[in-house]
Amino acid sequence: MKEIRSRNPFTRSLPYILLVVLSLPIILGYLWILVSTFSTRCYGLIPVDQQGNYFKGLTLSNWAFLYDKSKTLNASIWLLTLNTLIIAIGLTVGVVLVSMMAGYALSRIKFPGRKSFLSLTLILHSFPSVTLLIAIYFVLRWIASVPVIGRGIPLIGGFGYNTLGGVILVSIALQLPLGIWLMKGFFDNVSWDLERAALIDGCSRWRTWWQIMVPQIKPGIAALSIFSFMEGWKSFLIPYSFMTSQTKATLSTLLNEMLSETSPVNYGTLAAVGLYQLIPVLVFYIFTQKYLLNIFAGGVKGTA
Amino acid sequence: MKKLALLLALLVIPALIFAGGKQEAAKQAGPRTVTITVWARANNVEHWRADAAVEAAKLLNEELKKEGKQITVVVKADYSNPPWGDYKKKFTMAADAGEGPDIICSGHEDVPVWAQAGYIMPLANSVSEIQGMYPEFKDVFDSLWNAGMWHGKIWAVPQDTEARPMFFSKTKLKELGWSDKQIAELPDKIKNGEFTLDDMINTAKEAIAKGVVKPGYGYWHRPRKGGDFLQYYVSYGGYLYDPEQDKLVLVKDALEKWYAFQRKCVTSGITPKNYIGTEWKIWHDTVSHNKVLFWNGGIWQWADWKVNYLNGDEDFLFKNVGYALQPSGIRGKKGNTLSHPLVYMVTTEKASGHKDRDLVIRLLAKMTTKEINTKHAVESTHLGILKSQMDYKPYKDSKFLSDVTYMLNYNWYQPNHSGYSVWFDIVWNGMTAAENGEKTPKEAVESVVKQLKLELGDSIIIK
Amino acid sequence: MKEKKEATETKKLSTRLEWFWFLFPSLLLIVLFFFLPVIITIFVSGTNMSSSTGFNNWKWIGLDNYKMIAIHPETPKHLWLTVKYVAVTLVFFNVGMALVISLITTHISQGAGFFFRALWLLPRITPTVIYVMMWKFLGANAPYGVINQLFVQPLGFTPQDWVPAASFLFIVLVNGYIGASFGMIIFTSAIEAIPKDIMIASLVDGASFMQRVRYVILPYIKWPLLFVTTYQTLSLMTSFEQILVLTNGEFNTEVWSLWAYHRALNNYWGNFQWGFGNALAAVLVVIGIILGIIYMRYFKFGELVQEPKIET
Repeated sequence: MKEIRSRNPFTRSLPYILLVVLSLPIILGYLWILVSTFSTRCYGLIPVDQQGNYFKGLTLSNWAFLYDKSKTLNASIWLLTLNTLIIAIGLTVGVVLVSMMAGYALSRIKFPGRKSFLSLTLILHSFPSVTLLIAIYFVLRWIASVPVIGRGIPLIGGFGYNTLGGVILVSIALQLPLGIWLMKGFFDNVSWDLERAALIDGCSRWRTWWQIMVPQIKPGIAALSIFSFMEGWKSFLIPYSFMTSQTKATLSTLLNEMLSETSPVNYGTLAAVGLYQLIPVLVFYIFTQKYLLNIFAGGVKGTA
Repeated sequence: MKKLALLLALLVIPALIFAGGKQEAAKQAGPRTVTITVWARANNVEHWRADAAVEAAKLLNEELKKEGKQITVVVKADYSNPPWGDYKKKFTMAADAGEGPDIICSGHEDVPVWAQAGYIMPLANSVSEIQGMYPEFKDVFDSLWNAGMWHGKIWAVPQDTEARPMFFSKTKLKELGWSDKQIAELPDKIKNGEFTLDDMINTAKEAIAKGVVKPGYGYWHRPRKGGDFLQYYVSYGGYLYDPEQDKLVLVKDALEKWYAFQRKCVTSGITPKNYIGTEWKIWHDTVSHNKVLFWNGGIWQWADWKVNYLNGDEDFLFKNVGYALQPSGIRGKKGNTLSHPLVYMVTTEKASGHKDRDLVIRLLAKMTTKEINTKHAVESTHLGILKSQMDYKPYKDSKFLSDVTYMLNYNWYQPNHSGYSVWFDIVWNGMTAAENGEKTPKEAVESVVKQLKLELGDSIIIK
Repeated sequence: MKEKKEATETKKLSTRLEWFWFLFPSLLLIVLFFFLPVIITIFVSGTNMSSSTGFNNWKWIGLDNYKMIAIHPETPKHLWLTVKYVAVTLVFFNVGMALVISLITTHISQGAGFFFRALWLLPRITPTVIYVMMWKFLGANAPYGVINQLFVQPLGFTPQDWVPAASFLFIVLVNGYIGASFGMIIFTSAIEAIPKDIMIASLVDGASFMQRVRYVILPYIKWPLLFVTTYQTLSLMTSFEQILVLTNGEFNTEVWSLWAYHRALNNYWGNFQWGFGNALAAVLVVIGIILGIIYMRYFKFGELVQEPKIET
């Protein structure tokens, strides 16, 4: 878009001033995290030491949580990182795979009820899924009682209540309407000559899908993967609601616990753990913005 | 065809694994290991709530060995420090899914709710019965068993208890012109009802007027939701429960006076406006650094301040901080304090998915010794629960604990009634509305009464 | 020959059913985590299920929970708060601020525009707990809070803890700064899609910036505007994660969805009223379904579901 050209320096800088003022809370907020991470205590944006002297008390000790369990309410930060990673990766793989399958069928195959299924995904896309949390608890409890699948799987524990797998499953489901819708859109844009050739050659639908079609929508897969990974990495409400033990939960739930009520944690450590969780997201974000903008434009679930 | 085979394989493999698992469970004779899980809500100075079980298991295993039983007890102690609501949610859901711990440490007020839901099991029918079960249980103060009593049965073993004092800054009172003697006498005066809540407000006002403390720093109550506030309801003559009828009670007159007191703290400028909801960390930091004249807290916070806010400098606290009962609202009426004993409850087989309940109770007995309990009491500044502790040197050596033990003579408990949670939430919402001036105390009381009647129906008596 | 014929028949059959296997995982998940929960929500809302009844001793009480909602003294309070919160956040942030940011960033240099949009996306990608913690300490009382330090004290006002003092403002801000980015992206791409010659023509005509916005841009992004408005209404109405972490519903910030969550899954003494909580949630579920259907109809859905390209 064309810039507005004006000779008057004030008029020219006006939009920038306005933007900075509007963005101030964001700027100050992230600045606060950065400063308090490296200070003993913090008065506003100014680091102070134990006695309250200004501009003193810069320290790295807030990062001791990386090796000192007692700083994080005795939860092992590495175990929690691993858990968070498992959830993020599980969610990513699950959402991408399931959405690719459904998206392909919806885009390319004619079957009874196709239109209603599409409408359904759209409705679900806007559906207030958080209101279902209470009921989802009942479903997870039921899954938990199914042998093996419920709670007999190594690494993710199973798919029932109070397992990483359960959290992943719920997260996948809630993310699915967006994923399906997005994948269908990408498949829609693939030229069908390619696919027709494959089908005429006698390829099965599955082979066509996997060998011909999927490679065509790599940008879409990348976008959905990145998005899902970030959602999984930051997920709070679902693990918070469906995991019982802190040692099985995620970085977000640990932070919430450290932030809330009577936890004897100084907020320097709190900020440091926060930054620790934020860094991967930021790095990811900086390098993959273009893909992400793609998906946000495709319609992200609300404000939550 | 391939797909069908795959599907079959998918169906068969889990079935095989499941069958394998069953076989393993079947062979149970011979030496075996019993894993007992303990959950507690605790911070870093309260970790003995869970770790007591680890120590106790050592004793228990020795005993079992002597008896020639081929059983080894392994304890999984898990503690974390979420808000109470989160902690109880975790337990409820886990217990309901048959995934609960074997021992849950929580507030005594959970007994009726969890007993009714079938999560915890009764331990005995009377105090004398439970005292006869294990010598360790005989050592527990009789009155504390009552905290775990519901519908005529004992459902819980006491873990610790505490008092919630009114703390005050001795050095600030001195700056205000009080003599050392006056300061030393304050706890007694409060105990006897000679120094009331009104006196406290006036003193705080004076301190602000004279610049001893900053405006708004005259009196700080607990910054967040909690039972502590009900102490003032009691101070004005209120009570919560009618044991004869097993019904909750609301005394309208006391409630209104209490609400008015909360509001007056704000209007008189001794408590900041919109103060409820202040960050705990800020609260601890402020009160422990001697910046407030009066504040109400709990004795366990003493250890927290010492370890987490003052780098272990307990002398600083002794020099600056005094403690007394909660002043009465009525002149001549004794001071009071709320005790909220934590208790260990034993979950049912269904809630934990484990057998060997006898072994679990036996482990609990081993946890209830003066050696183990005193570690917790001293390290976290909670009060002991055992008669023998009172003469036990490590316990007696704690000056702070000795100083506050007398408060137990003036304490009261919250009721064991399954509707209490609802009662509390409604009364709390009324209080915040009154303190923040959204409603007059009178309006708040009316709204509270209406809601209590609606939600609790028959189980509430309005006086 | 016979064998071959059989083989082709199997193949045909499998072709016919292939769509089902492609959809099977999604169907399963949707049934498990959308359909079943809706049914459970409505079912449980007709019972007195709570922690004290457990999952075994509950009773069927019909519409009593809904009656209780209807006459509960707190209902108007929560309802009015929810309406106010959704309306204010929507108007000033999710639509208003989104529009302002996208308008400005499309009219400054491309690099700067991109930078500020990226900045505004940060809150959305930041884990909620960290993001809310930031706000808590922006608003915290002196000497800790940033707002007090930078603005309140230098200007000579009395510092205070702003989160409780201005709780409504804070829940709007916290949600608004996340919510704005959604509209921002959609509006930006819509504005950038406006044909160049139309924009240039308006410049040649000597239209001021405001005139251009009013007469050229707004008419062009009418649909995105409507879309964002409806979509965000729904998600604002039901999202409570940020409020949960920020105030936990204290200081009059208990919106309807949080009320339901607190009653059913999270309260101070841990006595959960699944029946009553589910009734509260069911109200939202029903509104959600109705709004979902309406807005799907409204947004030219037919165009989106064109027939598949290949059919063998």
